[in-house]
Amino acid sequence: MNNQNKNNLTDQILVEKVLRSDTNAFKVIIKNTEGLVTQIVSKMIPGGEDRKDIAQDIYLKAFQKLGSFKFKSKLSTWIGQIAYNTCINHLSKKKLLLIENHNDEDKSDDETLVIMNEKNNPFNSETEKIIFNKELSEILKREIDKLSPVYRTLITLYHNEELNYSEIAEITGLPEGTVKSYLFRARKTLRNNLLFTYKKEAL
Amino acid sequence: MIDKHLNDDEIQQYVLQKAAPDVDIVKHIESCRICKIKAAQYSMLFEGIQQQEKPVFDFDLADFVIKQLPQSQRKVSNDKLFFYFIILISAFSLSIFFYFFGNSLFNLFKGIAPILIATIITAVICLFIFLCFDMHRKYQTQMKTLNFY
Repeated sequence: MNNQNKNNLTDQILVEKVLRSDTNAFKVIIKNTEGLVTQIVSKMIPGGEDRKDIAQDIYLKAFQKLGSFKFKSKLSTWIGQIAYNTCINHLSKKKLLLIENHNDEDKSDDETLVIMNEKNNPFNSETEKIIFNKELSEILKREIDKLSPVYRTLITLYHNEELNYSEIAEITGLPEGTVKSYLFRARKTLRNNLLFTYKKEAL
Repeated sequence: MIDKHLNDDEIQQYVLQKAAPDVDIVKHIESCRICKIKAAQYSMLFEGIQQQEKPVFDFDLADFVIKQLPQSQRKVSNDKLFFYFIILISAFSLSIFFYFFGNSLFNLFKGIAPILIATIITAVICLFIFLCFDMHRKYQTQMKTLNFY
């Protein structure tokens, strides 16, 4: 039995238990999907207090709609979809921009950026490498936060949650091609901004 | 072999290694200093993203949600009860009506030409289907507005 079938079977058993009013089964569902939901909510919603209400709202919606879940996808993907839509609605109500135009082209010529950062090559020694990795991690965190909510979420779903393009497309409701293109742009923006910031801080 | 520099998309794909890399792309990266550095930067970027700390809520989400559930469940069961109550009342009213006025209703249609009856029934069925369809459409719009999914 492959993993997909195993997941479906577990999902089916849990859903049936919840529909028979077993709240413990719903607790298991929350525990299983909490990581994905936390990632989506944290990346999409900037404020702390709003996140708590939204996370609660997501699971109450999932609980109310569980009877209509058709097992066409994984339960986690379905809950991820509810999480993403809830966050999008929240951002739309607050009139926040979902995707911004990142003019990374203006910052510096691509080739110059590569050469300049090569001169600041951090891999000269192991100690420098460790310091650089720590620095990089902090700069990267700041740069990821500067991305638009949708780009941030796509990057996280792909690189941290290790979901494939079709699963991300299912969660976000975007066509697979759009997911690929947004991801490509987000990575490019992130790389350019990262090098630009690192170059500025190294000077 | 590819002469000009690879674009970012090709380099990203090469670093991600989701599909078997094109031999020409591999050869180019091995021989081109700029593309090689770019690939190393992307590789470092992806590693950096994966090493980012996972966000966690500062409260127990499962407990927090479970506390809210009984109320919602009761609401659902009350809604169902109300629905069954309406059906019961409708069925009771209809049976009372047919019990007392069934014969009169049958006599009402006795003198009318069959074609007229067929026309009336067809019109009523069409109207009923249209109303059901319209009601369903409005229900879906309202559910969307209520932000249920």
